[in-house]
Amino acid sequence: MKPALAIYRAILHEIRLQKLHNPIRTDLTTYISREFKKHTVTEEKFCRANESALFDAKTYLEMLRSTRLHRALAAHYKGKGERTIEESANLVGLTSDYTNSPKNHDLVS
Amino acid sequence: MALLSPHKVKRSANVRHSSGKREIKRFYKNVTISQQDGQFEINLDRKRLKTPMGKILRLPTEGLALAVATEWDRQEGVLEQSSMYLTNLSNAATDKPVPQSPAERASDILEFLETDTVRFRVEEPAHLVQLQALAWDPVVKWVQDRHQVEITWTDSIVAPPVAGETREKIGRYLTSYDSWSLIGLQAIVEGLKSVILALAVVDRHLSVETAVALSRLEEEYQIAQWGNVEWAHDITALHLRASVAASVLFIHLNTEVSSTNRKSAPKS
Repeated sequence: MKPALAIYRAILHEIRLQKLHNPIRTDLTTYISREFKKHTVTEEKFCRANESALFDAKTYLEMLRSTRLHRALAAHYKGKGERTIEESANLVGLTSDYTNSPKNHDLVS
Repeated sequence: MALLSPHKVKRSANVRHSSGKREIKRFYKNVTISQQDGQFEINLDRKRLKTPMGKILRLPTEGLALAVATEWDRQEGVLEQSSMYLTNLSNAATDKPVPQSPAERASDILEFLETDTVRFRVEEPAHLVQLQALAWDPVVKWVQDRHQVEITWTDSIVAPPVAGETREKIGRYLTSYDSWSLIGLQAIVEGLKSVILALAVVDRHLSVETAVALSRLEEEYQIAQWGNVEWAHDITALHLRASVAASVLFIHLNTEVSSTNRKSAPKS
């Protein structure tokens, strides 16, 4: 399979995984198709503009793919997050009423 | 204020965490782009997308506008702004939260050359020394040829000075970029911790994947020796790949030539 075609299909696959809505989904795929067509129809074996465009396509694919994988991993390893102030205070038996007045500093919750 | 026990803390749609960060849920149904005076705007339902400083976001090319719009349209539930790389770069380019002239940005980037990752080699272990030479020498040579400059490196902790001529030539090259592109370039340099790798990737000499691997050479070596920690190493590496790819794309989409160059008709 020609490299350009493989990249093209991979990009479309990534876009499909993103679950986009119309019109953006259609506009984006139309734009990408147009760009690929523009740069793969040539009689010259080597054309700098086409090489550049292929690099940009690979870069776009890299961005989509790495973003997806990063988000997936981060979600997978996501912790509970920081405790709220209330929870932290409760750990040591304090109430969460943290205004500065001394009468609000209860030592027993 | 009433006494709150943790059990009574309400979890609402806009939760304020102890860190103070607000979680915003997707509040729009449709994302569209529109064109105005040769610039592109993003619409979330009927409202035009604005930058954090309240300016209407205007993008110079259709490609960039579509990519930004896609970042908004793919959001489900809580908005993940940290992965909206092109949006963040476009916002920074519009708002310029760190107000710098293009010359100042170029100068900042040039400064980074002093502490470029690729200019500092280890003394040991021997295997890593070899690896660094094998991996980095070709890129250094490429930058030297491409920009007609001299790049020195060291295996001590003392930064070898950057030659005046090198500074001048690369400085001139950097100022040929407009302010939007320079913001992209700053992001690449900061991510890769290397001007040399940034120059190579922006010129399409290295792929993003290769540039990131070269940037992370020592980490990857240590990981190979001591083992991988997926939730730390892989997450860091993927984030770097995504953000550098986005920054490279940002630069190229900023300067895309929209007209089709027609070849002359074939002679019959």
